Parts: sequence; structure tokens; C-alpha cells
Amino acid sequence: MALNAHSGRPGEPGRTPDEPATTPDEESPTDDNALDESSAATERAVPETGTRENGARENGALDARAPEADDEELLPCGRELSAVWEAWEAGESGLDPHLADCPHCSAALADLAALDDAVREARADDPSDATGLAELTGRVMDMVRLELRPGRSLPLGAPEDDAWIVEAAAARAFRAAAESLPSVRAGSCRIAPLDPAVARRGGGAAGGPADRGPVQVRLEVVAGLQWPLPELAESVRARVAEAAEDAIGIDVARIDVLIVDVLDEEDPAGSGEHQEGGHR
Amino acid sequence: MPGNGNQLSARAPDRDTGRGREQDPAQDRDPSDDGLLAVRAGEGDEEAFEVLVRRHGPVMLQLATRLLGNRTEAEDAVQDAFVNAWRKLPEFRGESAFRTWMYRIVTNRCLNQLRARRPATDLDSVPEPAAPEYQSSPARVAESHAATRALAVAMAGLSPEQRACWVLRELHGLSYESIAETVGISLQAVRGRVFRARRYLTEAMSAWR
Repeated sequence: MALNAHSGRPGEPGRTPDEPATTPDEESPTDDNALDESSAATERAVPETGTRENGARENGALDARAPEADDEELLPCGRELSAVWEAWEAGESGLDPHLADCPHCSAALADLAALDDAVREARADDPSDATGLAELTGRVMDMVRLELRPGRSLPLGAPEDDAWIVEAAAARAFRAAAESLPSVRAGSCRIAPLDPAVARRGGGAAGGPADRGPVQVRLEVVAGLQWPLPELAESVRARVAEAAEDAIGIDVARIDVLIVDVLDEEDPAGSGEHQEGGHR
Repeated sequence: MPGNGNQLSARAPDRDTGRGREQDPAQDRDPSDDGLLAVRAGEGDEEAFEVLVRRHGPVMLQLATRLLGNRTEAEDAVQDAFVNAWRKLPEFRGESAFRTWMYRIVTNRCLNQLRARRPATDLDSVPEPAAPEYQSSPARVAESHAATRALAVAMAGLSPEQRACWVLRELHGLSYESIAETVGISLQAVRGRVFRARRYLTEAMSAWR
């Protein structure tokens, strides 16, 4: 089989002009061949006139629309090429003596093995060395900082003050407070005015005096197995309360702690990696 | 002041620890804490997002470079994909792992770019693919890498869809199921594309040998 047999037809690589067209009926229908019944039918009628290329060009989508019939290539021994390769991929090509005995099958397997050698080299050959990754991250984060989602404004300090903090900033402090406990990781942290009427009004901007009042916190955590759950919830709540009062100065009236997962590991997975991100 | 919120809500794990996870293998749980970080990022925690970008950036850049064959374009694609992910994160429900989700965004971004390239190409002549940049360094020209180089050239003859499925399968080791989810096509269609890509590449490689 030569490469030039199908050069210029990237939409249907591998198909040689003298290949008989087969019917797609044995394949279970897919989104691809369902779209292409018409061109498959055309091909059955006139297998060698190049109708197929024209069809592929017309619908523009090229390979994706190539009929699945294309997948049925019979080797001279009667085996399907796809089945021979599937056996190889499943590691079962040794189970069928025919595959080793038959010159056609063993040639097909040798082709695939040769490809696999090149693939393995390509896999080991990491095309994205570390250069530029830091810059890439920097560019992404610059864009992200132009599109921050700070959340609603929450009242800070005494009722007569006009100080506010955005939800994202308060949430960060509460998560950090929870994570000061061993093997505790914090996930979702939502903070909203306790008064439902105020909560409904709450937009992004700082409100007026009427919008001031205590807030409620809902924090999700994941923790190691060593924690008795009631104690865990109580400890998290205490840390969050402490941060609210001492670090932020926000009036928190209610703290709901949701334990969303318990990790078997002594140290929750990923925490080591996480530290480098500066979250602990 | 606080402390009167007397709710302790714990999901499955508190009552039958461990079983919750076994019962739900479809959850595609991350071995790392990606899920937590993705939730935080969705709520506006850009530091959590930065950890995710650092963690997954290398693999996504690898994928994009392999799909596009060009490092500069790959960097742009990955940058777009992550910014897009930041925008979509508030709707990310964690049905799949964050990495799988990113694979999908990067693959789609690259597929769009590859498809946009095609009309400029004369279908009657195999485009002489610019050897991917990473292939151009002196070390890559060495004889021992000739097969890799031939493969890179041959890959340029694959359609975008075949290329995506084949790269995800062979170079990134994704299962056929994951590829179907990533590319958004049926399992059977993935198998067909990987098969056709292999057939094309074996022929191209045998011509080279």
C-alpha cells in the first residue's frame, strides 16, 4: 500500500481507489454514517468513479462524514483489518494462531507495530517544554483579573459604618480559616445577608444603611477520616467565627458547615501540591 | 455572635464511609483536589483558578501543540481555552473531572482552528506541512528521530477529527469512552476515526520505511 494512492484526499485517508466499496450495514449506525447514507449509497452504485471525493468536498466536513463503510477493509484472507488491529490493541493477538500464521494478518500487525514504535517515541517526546508556561499562566491570569467575579458587597464593621467587603474576599478568608485545621480543605463558600429581603436586593454594588445587617455563611469542607464529624463541624465553625470577628470584622449570624466528603488518606490528596499555590 | 447555625449537613460519606464513592464510579473523581478548586474558581477565587492553570497548563499545551503542530498557535489556543474556562466555571457542575472538561475545551478550540485552516488548502495536493516547531530544533533532525518526524509529517494528512481522536487515544492515553465525551461524538464514531487514522498513518509510515 503506497501513500500516493490516496494523496490529496485527506478526507478519506487510507482508501485506495481499487478498494471495493462495502456496505455499512454491519456497523451499528452512528451520528457520522447517519449523516452520510446518501453518499454511501452513491458510492455503492459507482464505487470507482471518484464520486466519493466530490461528495466529501461538497459537504465540506471531510472525514467525519466519510461513510463507516470505509472501516470495513477485508484482508485477502477474509479477516477484517479493523478486527485484526482491535485484537492487537486488546492484547489478544497472541490468542488467535491465524494471526501469526497468515502472511496478510502478520503484515498488518507489523505495520501497526511499526507505527506504534514511532508513536511511543512521540509520546515520550514532550513537545511542550516548560519554557513559556509561566508566561502563558501570566497571560491567562491577566485576562482573568480583567473579568473578576467578586460577588455581592457585604457590610463590614458597625451598623453606622459605610464599609463593605466583596463576597469573594470574605470567602477567601473563611476558607483559609477552615483550612488552618489539619487535613481540612474548603470548597464552596457562599455568604449572603441573613435577611432574605436584603439578600434579594443584593446586587454587586455596596448598598445603603438598609442593606446592612448580619450575614450567613455556608461553607463546604472535605476532611480526613481522623475527624469525628460533629467535632469537625464545630471546629470549622469556630475558626470561621474567629476570622469573621478578628480578621474581617463582619457580623456573621449563622455558619452552616457542609461536610461534602471524607478522605481515607491521612493527608487529603493534592494538599501538598496545593501548598505551592499558596492556599494554606 | 455566630455559632447558632446548628446545621450539620453531611452527605453520604458520614453514614457509610467509603461506600459513597464506590457506589458512584461514574463520578469520575479526581485523584487530586481539582474538584474543590474548580468550585472555588467558579465562585470567583482566581487564586484557585491559577493553581488549576499551573497544574493542567503543561498537558493542555502538549495536546494543543500536537493537534495544531505549531507551538505559538498552541499557546494562543490554550490561553483562549483557559480564559473561556474561567468564564464558564460558574456553570461547571463537576459531572466530569476538571481535566476532562479542559480536554474538551482545548480540543474544540483546536478543532475549530484546524477546520478553519482547511479551505485554504488545495485538496489535490498534500500540503507540505511545516514541520512542527518542536521538531525543528537541531536535536530533532537527528536520525534517531526520523520516525517521529515522519509521523509528524504524516499526521498533517489526517482530517481534524481523525487527528483529534487519534492524538487523544495514542498520545494522551484517553479511553475511547473519554474521547467520545471529549469530542462529543459516539463511541462507534471514535473507534472509526481512530481506525482510519491508524490505517492512514501505517500506510504513510510504510511508504517512509
